Amino acid sequence: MNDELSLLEEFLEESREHLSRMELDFLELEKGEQNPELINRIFRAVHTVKGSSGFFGLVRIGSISHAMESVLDGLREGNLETTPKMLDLLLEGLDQLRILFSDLEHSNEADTWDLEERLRDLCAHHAKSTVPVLTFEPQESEVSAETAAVTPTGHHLYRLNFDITQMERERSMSPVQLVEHLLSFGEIHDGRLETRDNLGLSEGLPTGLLYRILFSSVLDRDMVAHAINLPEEAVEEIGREGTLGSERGPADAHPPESREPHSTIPHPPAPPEDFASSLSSNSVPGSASEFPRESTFEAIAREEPPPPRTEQEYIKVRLDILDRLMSLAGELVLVRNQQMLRQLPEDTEGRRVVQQLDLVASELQETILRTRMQPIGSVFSRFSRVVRDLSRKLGKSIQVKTSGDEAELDKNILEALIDPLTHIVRNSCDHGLEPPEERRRAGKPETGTIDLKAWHEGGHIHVEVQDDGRGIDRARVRQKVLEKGLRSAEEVAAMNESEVLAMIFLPGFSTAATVSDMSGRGVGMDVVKSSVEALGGVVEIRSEAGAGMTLHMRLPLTLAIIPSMIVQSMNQAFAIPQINLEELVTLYDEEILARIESAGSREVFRLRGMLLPLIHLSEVLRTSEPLDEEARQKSVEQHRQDRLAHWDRLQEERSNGHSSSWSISFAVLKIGNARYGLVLEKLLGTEEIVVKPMHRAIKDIPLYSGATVLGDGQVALILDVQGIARHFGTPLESRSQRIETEQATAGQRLLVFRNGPQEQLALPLESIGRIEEITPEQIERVGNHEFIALQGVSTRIQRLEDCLEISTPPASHRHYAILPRRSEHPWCMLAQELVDIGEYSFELDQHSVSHPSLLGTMRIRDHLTLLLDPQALAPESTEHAMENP
Amino acid sequence: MNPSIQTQATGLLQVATFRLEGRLFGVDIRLVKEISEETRLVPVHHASPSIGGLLNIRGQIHLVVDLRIEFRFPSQSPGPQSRVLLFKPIVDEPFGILVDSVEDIIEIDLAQMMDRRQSEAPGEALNEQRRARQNLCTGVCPLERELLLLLNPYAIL
Repeated sequence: MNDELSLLEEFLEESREHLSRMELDFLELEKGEQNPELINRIFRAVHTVKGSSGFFGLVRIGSISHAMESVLDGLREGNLETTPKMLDLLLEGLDQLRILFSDLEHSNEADTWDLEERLRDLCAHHAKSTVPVLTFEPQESEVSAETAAVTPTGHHLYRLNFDITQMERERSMSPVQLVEHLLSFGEIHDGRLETRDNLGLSEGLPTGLLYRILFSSVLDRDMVAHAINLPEEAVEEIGREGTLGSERGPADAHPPESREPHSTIPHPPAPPEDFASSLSSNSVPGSASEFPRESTFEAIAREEPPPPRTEQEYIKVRLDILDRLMSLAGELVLVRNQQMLRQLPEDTEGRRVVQQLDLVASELQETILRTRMQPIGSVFSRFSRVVRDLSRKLGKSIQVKTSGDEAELDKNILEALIDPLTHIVRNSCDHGLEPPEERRRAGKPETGTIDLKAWHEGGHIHVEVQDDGRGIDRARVRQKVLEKGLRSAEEVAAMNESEVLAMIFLPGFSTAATVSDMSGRGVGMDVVKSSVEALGGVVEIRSEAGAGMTLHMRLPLTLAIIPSMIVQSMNQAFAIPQINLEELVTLYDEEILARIESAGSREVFRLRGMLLPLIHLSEVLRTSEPLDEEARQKSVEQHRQDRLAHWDRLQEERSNGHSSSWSISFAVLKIGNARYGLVLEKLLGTEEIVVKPMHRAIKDIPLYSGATVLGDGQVALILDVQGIARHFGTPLESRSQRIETEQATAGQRLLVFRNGPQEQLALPLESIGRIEEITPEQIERVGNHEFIALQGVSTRIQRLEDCLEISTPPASHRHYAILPRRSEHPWCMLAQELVDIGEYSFELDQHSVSHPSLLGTMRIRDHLTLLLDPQALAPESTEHAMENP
Repeated sequence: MNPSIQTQATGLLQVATFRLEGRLFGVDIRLVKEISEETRLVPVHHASPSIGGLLNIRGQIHLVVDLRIEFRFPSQSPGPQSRVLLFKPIVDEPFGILVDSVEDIIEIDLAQMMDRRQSEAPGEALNEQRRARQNLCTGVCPLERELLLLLNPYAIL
């Protein structure tokens, strides 16, 4: 039983592949590609599906594929030519097959007669007649010249009709026994299984299973009948002179077009010379050579797989085995982490071994992750069809181009991308791309283009959808936003170009979610954005009115193993995925009072012109119910009191001669465009963690997105950045909202310098401790790291070209070492040339170049300048974690 | 499916026993994977009170239920005798129960067991919680010196 099931599954799998391939081929055909190899390929695929479906008793699938096969056969023979109507029908047939395949159990109940009829009509228009319908009623039919030729002289040719189930029941004779019996007094030339009813195999042997045999024997008709114990009527003698094309039998009177649908099921007409043989090979002597078209089962036996897309070899692997491999790789990472912690500094030999282990584990991990990778082309390819259908429907002319089809993504991410991409493409077709006349008037080519691109870069995969349509009219966007009350007039006025476009992603903005064409599942642009972000990616949109729009998505390559920051709160460790982390801020002493403000139920921190709401992790953990306004107010007030009290205490201690210090750290977390600061008790370090799903009993808790085991064996819960914010309930502001825009443009004192020859860099002056001139000889290398002794302190060097994609400085005998004012461990960055120190007033652009180590970009002295974030550049090394476990 | 409960109540059942607040409880030994001495649990804030926390056993994270809370006994930190009983995958996703102490594995005669599962008395509807707890305790077995309460691990979560 199990074997049958897996055989069916295999059939399903393979048929689906055939169908996908077929669809692409049909589209190729439509484009005018008339090459015979293409047509043959499609024919073979349909033929295979038809044959195997017969094996499983899938009648409807069989008959549709048969109808399609006839059309393709006509094409193959040159009797038919491709017409748009034909391709429409073929594609309709394909769709119907897909539907049937999706519900095999009930597929035989489907009514597909109309479709089959229309497909058959296509074939009807050629001169060479086709065979009449084979019905259960004995009917004289033609026999091919070849059969007649091969029948030994002196033999009579008969067609025998058996009801197999009846035979089994009444005479307990199996088909094989029957054949053997027949062979004892004659020769079998071909056999054909036919079904009378709609049937499945669920009730045992189907009833009405007919077996018709083309048989020759010296015996007379009545003797044959007697020998096989059949009534004489079941033995039809076929005149050997009756051949196709020369003499026509009574069937001639029935023109091919008039197919009398039988009262039970209509049988599809069999093209001549193609009886599907069904028995073991020894019963059909010589048939292989006579019948040029191979029998269905021979085709199956030959196992024609669909042609592989590239030249590479592939093997099918069960997904659950892959998952197991993945989790084993994860375990290995855990063990490696543990081992790294246990490493003693003195044990140099052991260290080497551990490094080897590290390399192997990392590579193993990467390779296994790649097994789950699938080329994005598999998703891109479906859009050709979608666009074709839509463009026909809308009366527009649209073509799809793809590039980067080989770019690979994790299977999960790929699947999750399908809906958003579909929505975007449909949007372009519906709204973005203009009808042909409008395009002509605008001077554009009549055919609109949708460009799908994918590529790898910087540890991410980028996917872009670009169209050359109308583009997005910013004025309309502004208007719509105001109409729907999504933003206030002042806010809208203050936005820059890209911020206006970004508003398309606001929930409630989507107009395109009309039910008509869309899948009706409420997919709007906001859902696209949240889907992408749920995968750990970002999406942005660019557009020029009149010239089209580009939607750009950046996604992580993998889901399961993520770098994260480990923090402590309430005496336990938590993990925050790096992807949600924008920066870390530590405030000292007076700054705490100066820069943290509270008002009502909001506690905020001033971060470069933006007010960042603060949330205390310990508080969120302690309160199991989401906070309401009152609770928030209380909490904010409490914190304010605490701060003041702490400050007083600090002053007191200092006046008593104690050198105390006070610091508060928080992580700036991001959810889409919004930011908030999470106040932490302690930062423990960073770690690459294996994400483990939560137990079903706790997986609905919004605060967590998973759990992991740290290198030291501790279980750490992975925090859900959005869950925390929701729990605390404070409204988050998006980056674009600047309450005090003057702040952003106020002058700031900067150090402007160069590292490599190309870029101009800057640092906020207040973040710099000191600058020293150094020579290359002073630099010492330890393993992969560089150090320099400055004022007697061994200082770690962070080369900027290693952290950012900027040019490398040429070798020189003079560098500058820039040491940040505050850092956990002494470190410095190198500069080649100091350009200037001064007060600059600038507009910080945070959109054009985005990188975690940059605060933004601006123009200084007519050059694009990168403003660096010293805190983000600080080397967070595992070495430190090892030295300070 | 519940192999430890036999409605005909015949045969012998091997039971792993443990104590909570002095009382003796037991579970079908066939459902127990292992008994861990490590009882330091990582708390899961915002989870229901009977979730004691998470425990790492050889890289796999187990959810540990604090049965004391489940039975409304006063909460208590795990002591030197405390153990975590971990159940086999057939019961549920990896989980276990925190108990005060573990005792011997004994064999009980199911014929002796009094089925404590109550069906609804006519006219009286048991509320959700009571019913859940009724299902948790499936029988009482009198031993030499005390009563053993048989628990159904499937009903814990």
